[in-house]
Amino acid sequence: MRRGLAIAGLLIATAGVAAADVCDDAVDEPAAIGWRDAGFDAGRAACPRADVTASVRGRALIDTPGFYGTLGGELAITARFVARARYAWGVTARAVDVAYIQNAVWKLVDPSYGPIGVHGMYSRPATIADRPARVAAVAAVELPFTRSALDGSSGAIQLGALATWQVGACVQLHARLAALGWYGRSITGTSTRGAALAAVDVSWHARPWLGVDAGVDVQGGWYGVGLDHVAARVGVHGRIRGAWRTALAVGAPVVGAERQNLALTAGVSRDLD
Amino acid sequence: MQRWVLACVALALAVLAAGCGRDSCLGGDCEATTPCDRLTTACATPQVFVGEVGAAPAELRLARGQGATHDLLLSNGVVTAVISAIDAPTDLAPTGGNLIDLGPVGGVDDLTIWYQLAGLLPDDAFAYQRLEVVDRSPDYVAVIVRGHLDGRPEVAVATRYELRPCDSGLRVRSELHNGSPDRQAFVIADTAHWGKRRVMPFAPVVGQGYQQPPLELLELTALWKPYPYVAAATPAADGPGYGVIACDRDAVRGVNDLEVSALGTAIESVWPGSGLVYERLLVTAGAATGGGGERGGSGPASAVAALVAARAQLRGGAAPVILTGRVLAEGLAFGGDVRRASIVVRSGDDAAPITAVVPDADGRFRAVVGTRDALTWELWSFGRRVLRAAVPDSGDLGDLTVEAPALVNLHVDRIGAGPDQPIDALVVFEPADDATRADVTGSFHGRQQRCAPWLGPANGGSPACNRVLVDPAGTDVEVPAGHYFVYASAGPNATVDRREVQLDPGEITSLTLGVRGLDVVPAGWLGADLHVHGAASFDSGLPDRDRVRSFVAAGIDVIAATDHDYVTDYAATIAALGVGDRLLVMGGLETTPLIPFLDVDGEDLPRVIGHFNFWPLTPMPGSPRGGAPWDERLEPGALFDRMDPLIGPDGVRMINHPWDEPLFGRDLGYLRAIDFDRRAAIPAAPDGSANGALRRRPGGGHANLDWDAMEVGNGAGADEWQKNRLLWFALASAGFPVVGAANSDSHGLRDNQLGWGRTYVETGTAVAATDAATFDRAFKAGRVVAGSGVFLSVTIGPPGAPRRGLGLDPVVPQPGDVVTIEVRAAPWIPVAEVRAVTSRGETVLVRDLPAPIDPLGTDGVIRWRGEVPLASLVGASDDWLVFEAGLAPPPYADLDDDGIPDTGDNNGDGVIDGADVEDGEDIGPIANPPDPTASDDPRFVMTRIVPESWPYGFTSLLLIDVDGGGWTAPGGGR
Repeated sequence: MRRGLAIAGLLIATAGVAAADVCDDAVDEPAAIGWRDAGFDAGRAACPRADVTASVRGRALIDTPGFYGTLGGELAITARFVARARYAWGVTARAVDVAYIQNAVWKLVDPSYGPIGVHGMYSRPATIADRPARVAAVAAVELPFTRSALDGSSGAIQLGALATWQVGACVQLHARLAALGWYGRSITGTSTRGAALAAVDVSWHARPWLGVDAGVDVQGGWYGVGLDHVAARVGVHGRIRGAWRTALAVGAPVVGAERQNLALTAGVSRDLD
Repeated sequence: MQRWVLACVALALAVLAAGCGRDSCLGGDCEATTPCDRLTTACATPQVFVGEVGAAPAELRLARGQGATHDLLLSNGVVTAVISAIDAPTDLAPTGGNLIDLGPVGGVDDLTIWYQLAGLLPDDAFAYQRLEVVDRSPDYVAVIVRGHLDGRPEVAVATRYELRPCDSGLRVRSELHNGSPDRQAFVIADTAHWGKRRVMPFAPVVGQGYQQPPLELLELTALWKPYPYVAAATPAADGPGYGVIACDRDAVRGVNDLEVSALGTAIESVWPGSGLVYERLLVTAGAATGGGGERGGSGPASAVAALVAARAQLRGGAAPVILTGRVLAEGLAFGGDVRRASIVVRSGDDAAPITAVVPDADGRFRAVVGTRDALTWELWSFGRRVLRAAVPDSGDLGDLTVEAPALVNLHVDRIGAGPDQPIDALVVFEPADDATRADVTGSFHGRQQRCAPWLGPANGGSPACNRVLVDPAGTDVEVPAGHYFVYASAGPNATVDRREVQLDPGEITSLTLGVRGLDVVPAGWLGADLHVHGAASFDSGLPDRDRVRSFVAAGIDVIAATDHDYVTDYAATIAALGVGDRLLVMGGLETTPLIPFLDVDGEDLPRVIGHFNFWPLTPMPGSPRGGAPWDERLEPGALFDRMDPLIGPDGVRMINHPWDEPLFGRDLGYLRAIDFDRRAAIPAAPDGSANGALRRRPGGGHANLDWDAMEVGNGAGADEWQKNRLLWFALASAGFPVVGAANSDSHGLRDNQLGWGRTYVETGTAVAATDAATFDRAFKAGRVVAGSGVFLSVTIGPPGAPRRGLGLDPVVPQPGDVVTIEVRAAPWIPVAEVRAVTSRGETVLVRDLPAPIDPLGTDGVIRWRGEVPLASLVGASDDWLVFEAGLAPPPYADLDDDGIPDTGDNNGDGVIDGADVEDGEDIGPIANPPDPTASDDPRFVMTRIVPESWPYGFTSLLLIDVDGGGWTAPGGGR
């Protein structure tokens, strides 16, 4: 994980100054698919943005041999702001989460709300191989005591380095290296988990109003030593009208120990700038 | 600005570090977590003790407990509890660390196990790895156990059992921490394994009390209901009451059933990093301390009184209401036994049953309830509700008068050979007219068997249901007034006597019945029941004394005591009754795996390997399970390896009821568990097929089919025999001929009656001169006839020359060999046909045999004698040969085409089809035809003595080695 962060830091530090910005159009943002609860591990482009997004996320975990499964759906509201040219911050609140849990004997519907997460980003233009790019450092924190469902607290953090690179006239490459940390604490004890991940997405500006993207991420450490997953995802991101955009994406793990079988998201955003 | 940010960060870190200010065993200081700390108690002589059972003062130990020397005993002089040592798992639990004995000091233990789980899969059982003893006497003593869920090491668990001076029960706190990455649906629940025939739960909610809805495992979420408390008690007068109340929530939630109760928290979503905590008080009270904690009877009321007191402390509310009264019959005290009187108290507009009490011997009772809301009471006597009324404000129900029963002084004599000799026998009461039947049909508060007359709980001691064990000295029994036939039986090798009597209320009637011994079984043959349960089994409520009396009354010679996972031999009871010269009782064991682990191709759920009997074994009361080895998660071959040194070279391994239906998700028969296909071959080596599993040697020693014997007949009926004989034949055809036995699998006096089935073994000795090794060698040699009431004598050889009898030594036919078959049965046992069976099919040698003229007489014991040329029965190649006799088997069909019959003509329309199948099922049930009601039916008398019986008998396998070159299996899968 340290090596990954060092490489990310080096990438940010050594990137040349960009001749032009790659963040002109938000439809080039890659799909934001998260595998961890509340999606705190989800990625983004290295672009500061100001927008408000309402997204519906779904997930499925079907463990037939273990007689266990969950189907979950949630509604999250995210607001992102740009503070000066290179800084961005934002807040995400999961307004409602409904999980259906079934094992060999129990069936349970578990509604809850929370958590609230905050994130901040430092981003600057760059060039990579004479093409415009953007590099960024991002930190996202899921705030403790902001869940309704816990008799205790939990929190999570993502520290990451991002790069968005204009590799062709209509094609961008988004890369991310990140470290994830999580704790859950209750009267019965404390649990912690951590993971490192690397992700790459390619987005294709298919139409002036439409971006199509596909990506993979590789994560390890969450389930113990070893590969959590190599997960693939695809998504579309379109501008509906004016400042309004919509996005739809779906992802699934290809290999690894990942427990989740499927994740999808659909959202509507409005640009604020 | 920066200072504010730093201050906020520091505050957040401080909050995180401090946690939420509560302690726990998993996340903090377990010493600071006294369960139910709002409960206080006081008594005259506060004391506490904790230590190994072997070191505990004798006065603190419980009678009938299963605690072994190194288990831990906690006592405060009021109650005693035993926690199993970590390495001494019992029953359903995967490890030790569970409550296995609980009772009032000076009393008895009736608990099998009380263990924790988070779900019903084996993975979700609490598996403890560490145990700490906390001795803070004189303040308290505690045992703390820690571990994780059995199949989920990331879910940590801990339980603290604590006993304080004067407490009426054990304070228990369990914790669970979800360290897994998944949001889980969990409970913390205690599971009490009642075992169906013993302690009965009592739930104080509408429509329940002693009644509970059917427990469907797949509907468990919907069935998981709240209860303000739950109590339990055995119907026996000396059994304690048990009860549980939650201390940290309004109600315990869960399910109750005669087999198990599971009671604890609500079903909760437990997030990663989060946990569950559950605190409860588990009380016991009763016989030793008197009902209600003082005096006043037995039953759940004693525990309910303690629960009501605890609930008042925990949650306040109205003052408890004390109900008292006295039951009289003809002006005399009438109590001391659930047969005579049992009172249920109900509350509210819906008349929810809230407590139940059995009056003391002086007829007085006392019950405590926590409400005054519309209280009513009802009095049950001899299985029927006979009085009901509202509870007066004073709570004093006064004198409650019921009709006195008749008192019958019973004697049974053996007659006909010298002076009449009083004997042990079984006496059965049967209503002689419809009016009596209507008046005297009853049950235990609507549970267990309905009987006419109901003389006592069907699963308890004598009298049970409508039957009574009679001593040679005579036995008094109270019987509701009416017109009866009274039958006396001393087993299948004696006549049955019948008398018609009119019994009037309060009258004393002396009745002597006589039975005559019959020459059914030749000298040198011993009748054995090799599958017998008693009180050491989790599912038997029959006291040892009555169990042994039932051996003698049934005219049995040899017993293998085969309790579930516990080794016993009844030695003390046999000595006390002075019947040792009439019985050979071998200590034994029925291994009863309860933790599913066996993956079977094509099956979703893991399975267990079913039941196997082993004998002889020596009981070791100071060892866990009485010396029985831990038998979970073993395939049969590994189990045999483990048992070999214990049973010795002459010992017997028997597969029991190999195709019995699973019970509560646990397989009872190995061949059914692995989906054995009798029509397919058994490969020479494991090949991944179901049949190939028989060839595995999981422990490196025995293969999975290395049993010595198969229980072909199980019980008195035809159903199990008809299934199992096909498996027995198929294995013989495949080259695995073993001894076939028939046993009762009796758990009480009414369920499977002792000695029906029965295995006759030709030892050439009388019982007094026979030891276990002699018997076992003869048994394993196959000198065996078995069945339910019918005996076959078979010899083979040329006419007029020395002949051989039964046995697994191959028969090499000689020219002119004939088989001489003689079928014998008591006249009251019908026999209609005799059959010869080989791998090539069945041959009916004779059918429509006439019944003896007088079923109660002595004539007609020899039903048929015939000689059949051996060559006419076997073909040109080696084969096996079995003779059977009895009634023609009832019709059964194989609706699921697995090669084994599964369904009977349950609707009686003469056709077996889907209309015979129980709602919601694909097949079954397979059962005996109903007992006849017409007195001229051939089965009428037999089914009075042995309900649901069907007469049958069969010989062990004869292996015919046609060319004398050694017997080879005929192949095929008959």
